[in-house]
Amino acid sequence: MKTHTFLAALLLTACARPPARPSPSPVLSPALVPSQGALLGAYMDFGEREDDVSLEKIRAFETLAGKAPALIASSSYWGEQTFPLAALKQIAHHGAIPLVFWSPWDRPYDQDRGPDRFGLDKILAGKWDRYIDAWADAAKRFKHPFFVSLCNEMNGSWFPWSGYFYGQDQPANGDVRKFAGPETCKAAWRYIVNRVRARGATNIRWVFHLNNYSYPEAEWNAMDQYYPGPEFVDWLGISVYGKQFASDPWVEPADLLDYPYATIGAIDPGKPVMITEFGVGEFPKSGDKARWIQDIFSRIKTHCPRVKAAIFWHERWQNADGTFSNLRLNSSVPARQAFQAAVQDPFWIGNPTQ
Amino acid sequence: MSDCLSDISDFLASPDKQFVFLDQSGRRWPLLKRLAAVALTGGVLAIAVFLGSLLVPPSLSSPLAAMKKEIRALQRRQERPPPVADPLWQRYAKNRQNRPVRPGPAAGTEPLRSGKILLGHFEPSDPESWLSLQAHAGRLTHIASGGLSLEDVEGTLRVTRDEKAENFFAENHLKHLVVLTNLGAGGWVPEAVEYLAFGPQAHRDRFLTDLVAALETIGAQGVLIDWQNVDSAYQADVTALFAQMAATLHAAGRELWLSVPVGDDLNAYDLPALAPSVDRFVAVLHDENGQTDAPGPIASKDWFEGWLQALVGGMDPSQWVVELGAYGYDWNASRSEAEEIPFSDVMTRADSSGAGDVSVGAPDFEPSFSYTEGGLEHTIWFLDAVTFANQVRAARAYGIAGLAVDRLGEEDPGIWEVLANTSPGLERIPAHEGITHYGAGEIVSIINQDPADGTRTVQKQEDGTRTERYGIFPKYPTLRHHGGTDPQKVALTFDDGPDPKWTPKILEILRAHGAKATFFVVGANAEKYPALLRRIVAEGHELGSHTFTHANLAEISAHQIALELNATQRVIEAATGRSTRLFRPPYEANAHPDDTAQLRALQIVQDMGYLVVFEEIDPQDWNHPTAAEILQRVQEQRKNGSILLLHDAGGDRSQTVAALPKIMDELRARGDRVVSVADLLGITAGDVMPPVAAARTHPAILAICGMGFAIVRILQDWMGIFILAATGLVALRTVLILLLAILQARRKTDPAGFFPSLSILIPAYKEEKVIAATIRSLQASSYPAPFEIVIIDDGSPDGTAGEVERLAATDPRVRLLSQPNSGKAAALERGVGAAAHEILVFLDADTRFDPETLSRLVAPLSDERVGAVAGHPRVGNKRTLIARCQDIEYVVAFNLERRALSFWNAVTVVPGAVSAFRRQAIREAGGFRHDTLAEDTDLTLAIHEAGWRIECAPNAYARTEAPETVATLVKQRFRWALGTLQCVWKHRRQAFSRRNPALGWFSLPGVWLFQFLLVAVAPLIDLLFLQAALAGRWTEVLPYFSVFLLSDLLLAVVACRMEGEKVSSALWMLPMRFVYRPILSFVVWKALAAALRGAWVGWGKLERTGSVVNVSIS
Repeated sequence: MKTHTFLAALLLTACARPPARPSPSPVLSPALVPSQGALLGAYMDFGEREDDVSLEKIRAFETLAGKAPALIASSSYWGEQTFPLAALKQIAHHGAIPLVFWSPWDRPYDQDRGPDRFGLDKILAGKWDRYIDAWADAAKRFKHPFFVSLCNEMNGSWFPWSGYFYGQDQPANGDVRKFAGPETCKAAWRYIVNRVRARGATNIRWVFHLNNYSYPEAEWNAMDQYYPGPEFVDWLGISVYGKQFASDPWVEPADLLDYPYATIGAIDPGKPVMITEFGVGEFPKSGDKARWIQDIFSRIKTHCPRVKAAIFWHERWQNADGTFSNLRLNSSVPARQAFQAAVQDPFWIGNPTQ
Repeated sequence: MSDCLSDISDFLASPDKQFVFLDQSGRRWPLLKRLAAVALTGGVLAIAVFLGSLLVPPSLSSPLAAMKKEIRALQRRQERPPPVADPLWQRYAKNRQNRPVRPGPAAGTEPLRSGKILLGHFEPSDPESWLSLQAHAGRLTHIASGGLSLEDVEGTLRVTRDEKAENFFAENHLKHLVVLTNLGAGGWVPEAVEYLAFGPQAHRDRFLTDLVAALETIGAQGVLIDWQNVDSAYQADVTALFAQMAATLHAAGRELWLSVPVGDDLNAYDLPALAPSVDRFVAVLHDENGQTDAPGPIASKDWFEGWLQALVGGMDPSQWVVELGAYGYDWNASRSEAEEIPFSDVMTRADSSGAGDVSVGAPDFEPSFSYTEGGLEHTIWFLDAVTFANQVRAARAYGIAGLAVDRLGEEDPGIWEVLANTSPGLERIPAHEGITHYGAGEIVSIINQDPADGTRTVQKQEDGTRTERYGIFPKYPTLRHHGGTDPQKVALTFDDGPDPKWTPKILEILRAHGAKATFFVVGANAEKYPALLRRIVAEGHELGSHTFTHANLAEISAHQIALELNATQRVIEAATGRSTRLFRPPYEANAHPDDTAQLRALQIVQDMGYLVVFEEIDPQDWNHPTAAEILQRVQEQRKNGSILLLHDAGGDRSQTVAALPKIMDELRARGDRVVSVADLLGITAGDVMPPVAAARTHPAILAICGMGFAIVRILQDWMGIFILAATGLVALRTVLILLLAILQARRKTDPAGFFPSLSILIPAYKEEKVIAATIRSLQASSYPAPFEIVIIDDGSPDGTAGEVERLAATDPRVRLLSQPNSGKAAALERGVGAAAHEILVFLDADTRFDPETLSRLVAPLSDERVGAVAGHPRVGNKRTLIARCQDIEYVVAFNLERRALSFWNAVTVVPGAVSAFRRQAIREAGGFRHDTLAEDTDLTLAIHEAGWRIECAPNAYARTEAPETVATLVKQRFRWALGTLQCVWKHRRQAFSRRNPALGWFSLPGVWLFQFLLVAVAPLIDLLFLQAALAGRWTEVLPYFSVFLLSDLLLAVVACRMEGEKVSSALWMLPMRFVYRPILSFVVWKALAAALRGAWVGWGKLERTGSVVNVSIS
């Protein structure tokens, strides 16, 4: 395995000023797992398509956060038919590791619409082979190691690549022990990963990324039903969101994290776990966002030893009813203070070059 | 020269082998002549080649041809979002439960009553906004101008002030509303408002304290809240916030105004609940389709009237101001948001693309058109005077408090007609002097057309709504922009170099990063360092011209512009064998100039075949920021444009050099590509730097050009030092002369009672007309002791001897000595030998003494150490300008300068026209010699050498006859100049001798410097002054010029006062400066040539006219 910039940067930092900085000097494994602590990651409000990455936004976030994340997440939607090379280059040049949500759906990228021209069946039928190959070639040319979260939250009902839209609990290929929904998802996962690997894009670390709770909650939709197998996956991941909408109840981190962590971890004890997305809206009348942030950072550290990376979802969006969901870390002064305090813990590994 | 010499030969009997400067062999002159001829021919040829290369403009093919960017109109009708069945304004009106919705009034024609509000949005950074404000300040009542922003969730209140604008508002009694936004560095920060609303009370208190303090500092009438994207979930908190804001502001005597947004943002505000707190609601009735939306109307009729009814219709209209848009949006796919453009830019884009059918009518009642430029589709929607008239008409019907215009400087000037008049015509579209723009990028082509009005037909429908159709679009001076289509490309440019210290460092950094840049060189620097130019080109960079002298194009003539550019082009061509098509103007490189004078200059540059390259990223590295500041400014401004300006010369560039690698890293981190200017334009390096045609690259021609520039530079360098030194010396001499003259005048006491017997000697040659008057003036003298008058006739062919004999017959004191013609010196020598007395007085045959002159002249000889005394010749024939000038010249020279020199015993000439000598001194000095043309100066210097003192008697007047024509003056002065030259050369050992330091270190060097060198180069200096003055650099040359002129004037004034002349006579010094100087200069050059030539030169002879009038001075 090639050395990569992040590893080199970590080593350099460690060598250059060991006495001045008592913080741990973690080393990354080939799978990008740190020897100690966990990688701090963030999605930084990169716009409607989650791909409008710019240095200005990264810097603005780092100023707000008081720490530069080691990992920066953005999306690559299949409807664009591109590889997000410019975005990834900026992130890598900035000294961070990119994570890409590679999502097979089409414009206008609205949830709850069901499959479109990028349906999993069409992918499996080879209709998008050329795009997958081109994407893989570009990824290989990019050279830097990076994470790909393919078809995230398949155990939900909102994204068009969910098992929910592919026969749910129907028998798969006449086998009553298998469910058509998750089986289609698994087949698509393996198909895509195989094609990408066949093009030689070995710099990708694949993140198997589910929602912390399955919707609908049913046997066929259980997390383990979606697991394509250890040879197709480098990391396990879950989304952990607190209250996002005015209609949601306020839920504390313990209830959101503990059971899903145990469940996803049990699927494959050999893989590191990533909180691939986490965040909470600002609802001053429902709950204390600052305390929620403080709690989840400390709970991951104390209760989830296999979590080696976590990506904070920093975004504000408008809902159909005109109200906003504000998951930004600076939705209020206490929220920002809590975030800044939490990430100061050296357990959370930042970008060593910044 | 020969004409001057012709009448001398008959005076001089035979060549004297001892004559100073005589070329005995006769070979010197022909040799010199041949050498001069060869040098002159070569020089003229070289100068012709050099000047030709500067003045004949090269035929440059403009790279504009290679760019082929077409702009043309698209014919199809605008796509726009389909009308919504259930528009927001209807839903909003329905949902508002608090008050019943009143039915809309019928559209009225009630004029806006005086006393109603007219609020203008103003942008101080836009010169057009200023022009509009100044033109319409009388009509406006309120001004909204930015200045406050809540920029983060912590509630930091950023205050930006513009005191020039604030003062203008105050002077014009405009009520200033400061706009308070929630814009942060990266966009809207709704959290800042939301946390203010729901956060702790202390947070609000602190903000309100800051706000009131800011408004008081600015002196504002109040605040206009313009908050966006605020979550409607906090509506109740926002209402409470406004109640508290109102209480605090009102207590501080300030008003609270609210910009009411329409659409989703409106839900954050419960208007009826806010009504008791807010002084004025401003209904923002534009941006139906905003910059980040898809193309569509900015304020269509239904949308405008629907929202007008929904907002104002349900509430007290007198609390409402309706804000109308007055601008356009240009949408295109290469930008993430539409470009906001003024009406004039809209017109230019419509005109340039040939847009047809630009009209206002159903259903939107808003004009729009589409065009393509360089293959990129653009769509423009805009608001003009007709949409404005329709909207004003609709708004007036509600009885609102007034109107607002967003914004001043972008409006169709017709809106002012609408505001002033109930039935405006609007068919003529007045153009203005401003500059319009289209295209993207910082490389511009200039369309410098005169402003011309446009026309449109405007019709009224039955309901009073106006429709329109554009006919002729107005025309404006225009800049078309190129090179800005790819947001990931950026070009580095370096101005003012090359510089041997910094340019190589920058080249190293560029090489290490594999980046190509463009160097806009100053010709004068390029000429000094051709190797650097070659290196820049060899390493793959581009060269551009930045003028030869870093000249401000707006301040120099078209010819000078051509010269500046041609010279720089030649230097680049000579060094690299390539010419350049790129030009950047010094001083003003911003891509949006507001000066039409500059545009005219740039048009000349463009017509010469150059592309004008501006920039929009200017970290001002010349102003000594640190490397970190330079980097930060680049980061901030990168979004403004794609050309970065740095400097590789003109001072300490170490911070630029330190910042450059960081800038390169930064650009790379952003994912930018650093490219050349040619790459930005999509053309080749060969298009911007083509090889020079072979004829112009001939090595000899390049060498001549190179040498020419080197000589010009060296001359310029030394000329500056020379002028400075000369000015200093002139000033110093003036001060010293004044000081010494005053000291001498104080010291002098008239030693009365010294009346020795005198021998008065008058050499004469052809003096028939004047000799009798001269003798009579002596006979009338009041001198109490005996004296004899000895006239030595030097073989005059006329009746001179007869005249003398006639007088001698009646007066025994008069004696005639006759001799064959043998020269003035011989005549004088003879007189000295024949004189009966020890004290000798000399005067010229054309000179008349006053009765007191003899007494005053010999008085200083009472001192036994004094060997000679200089009298004071005055011009007796003040009839012509030339003679008058000489008079004042004599006054200064004899009364002041000689007086001053005598203080230090450093008088260089005792004039033959009026002087007294001790015979012993003449003997010791060796008598009168005839090896120079100035036997008086020769003798004076010899007497100094013999150790005698020489005094002056400034009040011993002698009236002499001065030349009255230029020709005779030239003859006289040529003789003096050559004579003086001979004398100072003959007595050169006395210069810098220690025997008589004042003479050796002050007088004699002064003769060389002030009588020869300065006089010789004076016309050249005058020309330089004149050229500088014509180029508008008055202020640079004025100090030097003033020193020269004031020195002259000061000396003249003081001399006149001492002389008892009217001080106003000193003013004759001024014409003297301009008439005399060229003559004297000519004479000096002639004398120098004669000295070189080593020929015989005799004593030029005045044509006597007998015009000296005897005037006694009391």
